[in-house]
Amino acid sequence: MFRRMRVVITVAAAAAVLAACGGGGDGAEEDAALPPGPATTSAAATPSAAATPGSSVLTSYLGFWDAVIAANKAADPALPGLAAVAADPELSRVRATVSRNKIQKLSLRGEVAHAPKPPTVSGSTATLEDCYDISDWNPVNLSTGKPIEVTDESGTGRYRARYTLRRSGPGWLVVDQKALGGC
Amino acid sequence: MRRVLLLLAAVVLGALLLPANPAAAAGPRCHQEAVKNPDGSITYHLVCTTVVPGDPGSGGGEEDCGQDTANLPYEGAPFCMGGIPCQYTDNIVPLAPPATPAPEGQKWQARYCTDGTKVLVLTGGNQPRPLIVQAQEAFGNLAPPAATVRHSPDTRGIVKLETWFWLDGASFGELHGTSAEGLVAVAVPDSTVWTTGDGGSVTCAGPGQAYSAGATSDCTHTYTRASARYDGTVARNWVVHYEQGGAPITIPGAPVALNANTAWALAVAEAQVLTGGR
Repeated sequence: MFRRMRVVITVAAAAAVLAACGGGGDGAEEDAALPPGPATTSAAATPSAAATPGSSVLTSYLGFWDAVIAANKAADPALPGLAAVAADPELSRVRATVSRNKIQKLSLRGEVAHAPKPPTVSGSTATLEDCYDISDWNPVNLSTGKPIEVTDESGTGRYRARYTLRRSGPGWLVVDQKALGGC
Repeated sequence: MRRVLLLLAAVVLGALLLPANPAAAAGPRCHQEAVKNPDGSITYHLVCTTVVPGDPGSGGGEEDCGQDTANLPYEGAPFCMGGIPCQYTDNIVPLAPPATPAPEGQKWQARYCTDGTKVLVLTGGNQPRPLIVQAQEAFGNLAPPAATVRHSPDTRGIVKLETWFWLDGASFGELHGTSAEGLVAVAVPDSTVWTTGDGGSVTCAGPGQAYSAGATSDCTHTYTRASARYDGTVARNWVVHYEQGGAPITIPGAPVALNANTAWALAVAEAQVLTGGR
């Protein structure tokens, strides 16, 4: 798994969250001059015990994407890791997407970049809005390994969505999402 | 009689020897386009353009892999993929049925290619309409606003004095019309043509110049006879082009000019009966 490690922080609260979760990693930097496009964060898949609720939500959310990317790469809708990071209806949605691509003999390779806003936590439910970028996450033919030329629906590959997470033990499961258009 | 027979033979022989021109065949020329959705799923769309016989500009430079003459076994429109003719079909035999239902507006189809491959793909369901049809819809959505005609002198014209004509700025701006697929017709203001009601006319670059002391205008007319009412018209002319995803696109046969006519009236008096200036 490879992810770009640049972190763009434009919201003070986001900086606090990221600092608290120690997710900057090597190569993390603040760069307010960069355009408000997506950025990636690095984060461990398992939140630390000392993490704040917001940081553990963010960590779980990024762990969810790690599993989504892994399932799409393996073209395996039943990848066990998915159930550890998501629950229905989102889990079924992800599996259906992987399954569709698999039937078409496609696998997605590459990385997804993120520009999440600070999560909102209310009891055992959290919401997080992200501008994610799938322009570098592209299909290859499962048989030949050759890339498939595609056009991003949005033209840019960047989409905004609001994710809902439900507390599960020390972490969070992504349970739903609502598409909010491009970003 | 012998000369006539020879001529007929030559005509028949010529017709037999002339090669068929596949480019002259009318019909859609298609290619496949894969679209990546926000969730990473891939759907396929068949993009077709209408080929006009004898028009080398039509077809948009689509790939020609012999798909028009290939002997394809199914019902779908032929297109090129990877340099070989392919087509979509609802007949998925002998493939396994899809494991998941198709999302709304899409459907599972088999993509058959002449290399013998047949795979299940999720297609866009409603195929995009030909570009010319999209262009006509976009053009039809261009809506010129009402024209506000101005002139100086502003109450009535004066014999032997230049009357200036112009349109309010909002009357003659750039217009946009969009098709359901997002093709945009862009109408850029070009010229105005004024008929002055006394048999004269004047063509102006743009909307004309609002009168002000020291200004100049190419949009004027000098009346030579007084009248209680001259009925004139102004035609606004726009030049139209088309854009797809923000980039200009040439669509053979699509309208390239838009005009709108507006009537107006003006009284013209002899100078000696007037008491004021402009």
